Amino acid sequence: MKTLLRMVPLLAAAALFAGCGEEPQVIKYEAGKYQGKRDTLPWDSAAYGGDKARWESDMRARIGNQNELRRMPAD
Amino acid sequence: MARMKFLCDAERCIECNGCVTACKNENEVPWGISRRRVVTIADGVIGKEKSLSVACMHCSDAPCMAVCPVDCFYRTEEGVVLHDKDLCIGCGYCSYACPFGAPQFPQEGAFGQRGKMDKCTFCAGGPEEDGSQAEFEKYGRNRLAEGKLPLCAEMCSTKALLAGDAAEVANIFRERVVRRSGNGADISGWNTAYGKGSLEADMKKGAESGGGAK
Amino acid sequence: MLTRKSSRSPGSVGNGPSEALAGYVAPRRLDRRSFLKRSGIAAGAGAIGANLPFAMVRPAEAATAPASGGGVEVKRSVCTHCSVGCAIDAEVKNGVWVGQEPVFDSPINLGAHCAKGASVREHGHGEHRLRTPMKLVDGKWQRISWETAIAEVGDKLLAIREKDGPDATYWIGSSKHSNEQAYMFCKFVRMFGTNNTDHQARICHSTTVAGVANTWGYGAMTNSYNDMQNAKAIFFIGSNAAEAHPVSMLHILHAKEGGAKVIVADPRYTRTAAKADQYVRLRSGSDIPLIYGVMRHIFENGWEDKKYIEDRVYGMDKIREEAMQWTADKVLEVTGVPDDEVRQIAETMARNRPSTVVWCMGQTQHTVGNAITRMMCVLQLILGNVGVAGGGTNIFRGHDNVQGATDVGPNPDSLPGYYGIVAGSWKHWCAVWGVDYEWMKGRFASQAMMEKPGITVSRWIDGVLENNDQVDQDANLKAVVYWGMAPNSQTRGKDMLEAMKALELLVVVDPYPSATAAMAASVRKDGVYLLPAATQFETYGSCTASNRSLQWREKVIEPLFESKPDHTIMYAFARKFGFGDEFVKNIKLEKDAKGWDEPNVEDILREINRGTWTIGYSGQSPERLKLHMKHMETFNPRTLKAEGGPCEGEYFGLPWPCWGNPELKHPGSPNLYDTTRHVMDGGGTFRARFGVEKDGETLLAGDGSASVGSDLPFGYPEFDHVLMKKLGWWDELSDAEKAAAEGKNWKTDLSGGIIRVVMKNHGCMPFGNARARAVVWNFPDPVPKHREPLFSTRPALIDKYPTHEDKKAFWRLPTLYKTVQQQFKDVSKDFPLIMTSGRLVEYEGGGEETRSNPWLAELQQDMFVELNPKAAADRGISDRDWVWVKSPTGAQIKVRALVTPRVNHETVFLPFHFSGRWMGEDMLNFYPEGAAPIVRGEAVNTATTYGYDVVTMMQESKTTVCQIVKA
Repeated sequence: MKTLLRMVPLLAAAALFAGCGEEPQVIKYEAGKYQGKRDTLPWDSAAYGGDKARWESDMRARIGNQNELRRMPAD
Repeated sequence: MARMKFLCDAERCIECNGCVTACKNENEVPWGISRRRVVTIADGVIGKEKSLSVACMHCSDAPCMAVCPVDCFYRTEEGVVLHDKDLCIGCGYCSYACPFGAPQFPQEGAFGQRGKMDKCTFCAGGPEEDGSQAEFEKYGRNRLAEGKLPLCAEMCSTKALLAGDAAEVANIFRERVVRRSGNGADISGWNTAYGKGSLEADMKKGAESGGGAK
Repeated sequence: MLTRKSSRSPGSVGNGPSEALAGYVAPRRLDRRSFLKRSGIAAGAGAIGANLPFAMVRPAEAATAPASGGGVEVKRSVCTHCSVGCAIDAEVKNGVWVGQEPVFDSPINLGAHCAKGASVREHGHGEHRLRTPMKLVDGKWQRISWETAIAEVGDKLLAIREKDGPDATYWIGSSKHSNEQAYMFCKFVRMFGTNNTDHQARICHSTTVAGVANTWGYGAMTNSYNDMQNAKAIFFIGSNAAEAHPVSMLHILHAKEGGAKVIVADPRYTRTAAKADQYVRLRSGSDIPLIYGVMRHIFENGWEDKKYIEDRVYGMDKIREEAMQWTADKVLEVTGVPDDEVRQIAETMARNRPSTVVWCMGQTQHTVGNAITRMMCVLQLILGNVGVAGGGTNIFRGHDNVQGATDVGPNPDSLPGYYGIVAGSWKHWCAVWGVDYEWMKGRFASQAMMEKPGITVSRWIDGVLENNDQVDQDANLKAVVYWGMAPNSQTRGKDMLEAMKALELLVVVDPYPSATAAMAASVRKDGVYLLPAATQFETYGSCTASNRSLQWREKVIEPLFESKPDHTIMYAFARKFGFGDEFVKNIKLEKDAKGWDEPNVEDILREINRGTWTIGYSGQSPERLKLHMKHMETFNPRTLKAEGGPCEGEYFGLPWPCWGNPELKHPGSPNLYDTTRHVMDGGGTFRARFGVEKDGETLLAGDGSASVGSDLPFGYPEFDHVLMKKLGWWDELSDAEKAAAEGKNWKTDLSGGIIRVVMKNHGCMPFGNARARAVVWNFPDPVPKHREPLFSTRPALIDKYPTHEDKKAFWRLPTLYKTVQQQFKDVSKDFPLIMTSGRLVEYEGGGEETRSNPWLAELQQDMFVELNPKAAADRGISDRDWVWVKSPTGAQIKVRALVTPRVNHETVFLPFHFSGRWMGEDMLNFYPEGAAPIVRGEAVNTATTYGYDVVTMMQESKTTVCQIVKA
């Protein structure tokens, strides 16, 4: 019995410290933790040279091609 | 600038697979990986068959990004979800997490060893220099950097698949819906409220009194 | 890989708030990744990871360089697959095809593509192409040089010609040739000395052309895909546009969303039916009673357009009589369609005008195809829908240039432009070709043979196998040249194999070895040659879409491997056969990149312009067409008219008829027979082709019925020098024109003067102003009648509606009808399932080209049969089981079962694009090495049966019978 009682704090300590040296296993998603290579912005390309406004404007114009009502208007 | 989005109009999709091969073409996607696929529900069932083109949805809160053990995912300013193949360990966890089956793996060898994860990039390439050979080989074409939109949507045979800035996509779709509903399609929920066929019956009555046959 | 990260400096990179550029943080805590690393597993994973390929791309020898950046040329071409004619911008760098962009400017497709169009860049890879000429030697394919190939094949053909006559050869041309190539092929075969030539149109829309042309003048699509936007109701019958012509659905769904009603009638619930407002399931081959039922409802309700019929139609009373006999119960008995559905079709079409009809193989591929197609024409005449925007008969043709090949290419019974093979037409074309008529006549076995229609491609096998005394020519066929067509699209594959065995020589000219090579090698040891042709992306020229618009293709890349464009190969053989000079009399030769002589394509088109007055291929000069391709954005997609810019006033592609010579600047005719337009703005009337009166009734249009601005506001016959003089219009011709037009009519006047004066000065149609014929007295059934297919599952209906009598010499061969139908009257005892076949969107035609494209092949890897759940359960078959599809011919094919409610329990469906397996065996070993398609499967036509249209010899592939058992 006494041995057991003496064991309890040890066991408790072991149990308590078992978690040390390990971080929680649940991955906490935090924005910005990307570990890979950097990517360039689309408007930083050779075609746009950093002109974000022009790129955005081109994107808006380009999607018009997906709308056939532009060239075949509804009556 | 709002975020980039796909929208597939199920009333227009005819399962022609143009989006699938356009993607294969532009990104030289190998056999065994379909970045984009067409899903058909109620195949062959009269009155019920519908098709939808599905690829990566570029989620705002992407499950793939959340579960990746090596954090190889990132989201660009326009909301495109991309990843770094150099970091990818091919564990397949993102594939389990994604509800759309977007992350895919090439089959390598007889033991089913997974290659690097590959998925739709919204034709925005990946974390290599824009337009470089390295980017093309790993991720496919970077059309956004050229001021173009994903080829799947640009080549869709019936313009069912739309891709681009969400506000613009919504505008196009809204214009279409408005045009449709003015001609009997039950967008407004009339049939749901007043019983099946009641909208058509009312419209017919209107046509007969006002319009009429030739 | 995992170690690399730690060498990066931490901290934020980049300026913006972008999360993507946030800094890399070296892990200081033992998180999961580091844990893995420390436990040693990561090292292993890292090691594996470092070796994992990026799984992207083939070795960089083919087109892998990114398209952006300098040095990229853009070539504009047209898809090589279906007849919609989607434009393509190909990006080429250093001669390699590196990118493909949609052409949003195109008024036809607005940048849209289906799976095939979106993947054409793969033609630049061509991994499974036929790379070099090959010869079958002792059962093995051996490479030979071009020089050897031309010499050996040439010698063999000349020897056969010498011994057995030129008619012992058969030349199968192609609907995938450009207009110029198809035209030259027609000339080539005729200069060789035979009319034994044909192409895919025979088995596609030959019954359409015959039926429709005999109704009102031309056999082509009357309106256009674009024009369907104007329709208020669209009736598809026997057409699966969603899979066969996907981009047409852009216009159709646009119309539907604007309120148009869509009706689809098909034995199978297709993807097109999935978009229909009304779906009608009818028994395959019962179209005629269904349409009569529709007509009966229209007549009973007085919905017909009485004025239109009175002014522009002959013989409607007889149709009415027949229609009234098709009562509801009779229609139900034959078609399986209840009367209320039939009435709904009639009401929708009548109350929502202008309404249009669309049909494809579902209607054409029957023994009564010529009658079925006429029913659709008559239906539209009843409703007054012909010659109206949003109306018409919109016939969707198949291959990318089947329209052009039919118009100016190798037909067994006509010369380019549908000029018949009578002496007058021969003289006309000899004048255009610059050769002496007597010389031309001398090339043939006799004048009789020169004026006798040749054997059709659907029957070449009988030209080989039939008893010689039954064949209406001297010798049987000894040599067959498959120049751009696949063998597995023709019925009776089992008999075809026998025919291939019996030939002395078989030649294939194709970008792919095609199933012909494999079939031949499986039954022969020698006597087969394969010559590599270039695809349409490796050459240039014009092609005609289904709506009759011509588009010009630029050359994208040089011919791959050792392939050559078809016209270059033709010229080489023409030289070998001794008529090289005559072949290119008015066409200059240029040296190609390999130093071979290539006939100049623009010159060929100019020659077509100079001779093809009948259908108005005379105004589409290369210059005008190229201008259209360059300024596509100026054309309005609804009207096809350019509303500004360099092509102002013209219709896109100058759809034929584009009357007169190019200087007349006719804008093309977007909708045929449209009397609301002036003839110089694309307007027209029905053609006066059948005489001026019949049985006391006039065949010319009624008084007051003529095109806008016509100086003759009533019916008139076609124009010739006599009529010109009578009207006092002769002196409006110039002296040069008078010299050419003297003694001629509008079709043979090489100056185009008659056309010019008649149209420009007087607003009249050169071909007259007549009535359409609802009764075609020169057809076996002047009023269309229902007749059961040869292989029918309903013996009682065979008794009531029997097929035609046998024919002794029909296109040079005995052709059976009654005998076969009687012999197989009770075939449904052992073969109770109606077997029909059709298209898949991923593949095209015989399929060897598209099944060699990995991007397409991956999507349809198995040949299958669609089987209804009840039919499957009755046979103990589950989905994806292997089954044998057995034919009464004894043939059987092994395919997978696809259990689906698309078909009902008495019908099964198989796609026809597969080949490369024969009755259960893979034919891979019979292909030249490296040139077999990726996906191989059974050809449905291995198991199809005898049956041919009674006018055009179209094959009856849509209705035969089979039994299915689990394998």
